[in-house]
Amino acid sequence: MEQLYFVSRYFMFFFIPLLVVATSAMFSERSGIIHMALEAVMVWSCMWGVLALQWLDGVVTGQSRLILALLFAGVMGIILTLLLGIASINLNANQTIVAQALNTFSPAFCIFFARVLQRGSEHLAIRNDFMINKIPILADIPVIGEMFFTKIYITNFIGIAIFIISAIVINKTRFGLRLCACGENPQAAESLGVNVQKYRYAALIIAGFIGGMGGLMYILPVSTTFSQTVNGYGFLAMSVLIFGQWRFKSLIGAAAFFALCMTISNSYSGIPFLASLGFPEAFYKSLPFMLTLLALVFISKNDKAPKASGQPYDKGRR
Amino acid sequence: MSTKNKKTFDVTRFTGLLASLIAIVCGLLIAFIILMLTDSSKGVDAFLTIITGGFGLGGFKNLGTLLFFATPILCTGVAMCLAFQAGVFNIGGPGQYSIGAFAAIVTSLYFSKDLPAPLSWLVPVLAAMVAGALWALIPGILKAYFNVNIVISTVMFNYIEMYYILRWISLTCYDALKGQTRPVPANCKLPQLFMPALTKNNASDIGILIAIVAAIIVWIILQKTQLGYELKACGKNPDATQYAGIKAKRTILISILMSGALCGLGGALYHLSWSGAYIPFRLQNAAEGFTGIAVACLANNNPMAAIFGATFLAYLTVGGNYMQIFGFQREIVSVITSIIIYFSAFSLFMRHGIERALLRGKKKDADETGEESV
Repeated sequence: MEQLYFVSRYFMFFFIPLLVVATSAMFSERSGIIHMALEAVMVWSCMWGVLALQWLDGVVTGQSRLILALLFAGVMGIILTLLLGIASINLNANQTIVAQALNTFSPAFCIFFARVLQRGSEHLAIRNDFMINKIPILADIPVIGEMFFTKIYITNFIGIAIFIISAIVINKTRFGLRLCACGENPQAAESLGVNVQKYRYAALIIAGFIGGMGGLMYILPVSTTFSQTVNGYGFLAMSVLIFGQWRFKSLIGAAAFFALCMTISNSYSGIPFLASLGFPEAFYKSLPFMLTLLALVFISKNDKAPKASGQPYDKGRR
Repeated sequence: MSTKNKKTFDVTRFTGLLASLIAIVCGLLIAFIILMLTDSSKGVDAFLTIITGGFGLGGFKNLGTLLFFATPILCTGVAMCLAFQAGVFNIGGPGQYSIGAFAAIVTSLYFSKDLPAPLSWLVPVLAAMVAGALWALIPGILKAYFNVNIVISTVMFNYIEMYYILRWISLTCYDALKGQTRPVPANCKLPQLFMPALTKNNASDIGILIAIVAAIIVWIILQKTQLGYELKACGKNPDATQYAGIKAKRTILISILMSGALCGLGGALYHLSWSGAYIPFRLQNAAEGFTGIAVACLANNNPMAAIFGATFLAYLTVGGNYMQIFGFQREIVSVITSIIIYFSAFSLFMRHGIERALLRGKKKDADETGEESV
């Protein structure tokens, strides 16, 4: 039983940020901009978030320190995502190349900056006193209470809230439906009076904010230091979006699948059955990436990506 | 009439170069701002060291170092030129590069050190190219036959490589004392020939020459052969090429295999050099793979221009290595590189802008001359 609780806690550590970051990419892709720079946004805003945690230490106490840092990470995420936006919305740049530029920029800059700040070391320490031991009442539910409502972080609930609100915004509101139109057929949307550029900027601002928070949400529970890398997590989130076929409902299953892979990969030594199988560490560490490829093989043949995603918007095109 | 055509042709060439220059200037400018914001007292000195490539500090010996740094990124840069021209966004450079380096080291340690002279280094180089190509094979197949996003699949392979290579190194060629791979036997290193005399650096070898030859060969393939034509057509519009009878899937596969082989070549040339490069025992993606993208962007995907792009970025790297003296980190060079990629990404936009401006000026000239003749 202890084992199950241990695994389920680990599972949530990976599931929530995957869901959040994939949601962030959803906004961007639905508006027609392919968001390959998730990794960059996560690293960049995670660094700022961790720095905010350090600065606020002693100034604010308890969960409010975490929430302020999350907001700060989100705002910094917007800044980096807007760099993608300016290049791909106004300057018709190749979105993949721009994203790659940001993916190179972000870790390099963060290592540079952290080393300058700390005179040589790029590892930023995180003082983590945010774990909630028990949620009253809910934690008393047998099994489930122990699995999901003890030793958790407030980010779990924030993440789920972000996911639900985003699903409603995109699927049910006027704004969301117009956003989807911009990603499917921007020319048609424009002809009906939707300002495609404005909508794409709005989508990227939301995506940047959510993605930035996702970066901090990922690193906080699993590590006590931040070393300016999120280990390919941004690309996994991108794969979650593809595997979930750009639909919110399927996103849950997809994120759960990848979170399970990550859980196995990170906690196999604590699970006697997996540890006894005798596979090398490298196998478990690279398992999420191998399974991602396998999953994409099955899903990519007829993918349901927004039709205009990745293409620069040209008003004159039909 | 003919002279007029020639003139416009020159203009487009010139604008491509201008766009790259603008990207470089922007990259340097932003780096300068970052340096000044971090430490304004040493910022200027540090920046001057970067743009003088450290020649001021290291003297002429740095030419050898410059060529040593340029060799691998020229290979990966040419690899990216080829892949990008074919519309294949091979981001797997780091993985293919490291696998190639590993293959070269292992082959030289266990097999080719007993072979006669040219074979002793040729075999590891070829092994590296095959290994690099094989590492690119699966993403290529996934792209061609299963429509899997090539960026994601190659990135996944980078991470798989990152974890597995440490295990493979520790099983075959690990030097536990130094925390890196074992040194390559001397007879397996690349021939030096006249290079030490030319660069006044004892550690120089013919690696850079091999890389330049590779760049020229790829340029010839792209410009003068049917395969090259098919690759470029496929990059422009895969559906249309399919209608025209070109096998798009086969073309994608060939382009990524060649790209992987070139990355592997880069890994081999760097690690079989006399300057003594080792694969560090650290979880990281090889930076050379990503720098290749910057080289290709600067060169506007032209393998010949990549020679200059690689030399320029190597020049910055030489200077970047002195950053520690000023209390800065050499990652600033990666920052510059990434900003250059960023600005190159909309070089097409810049070029259109420049061309339009130039043509407008020209039209005015033409109008004026026209009026005179009337």
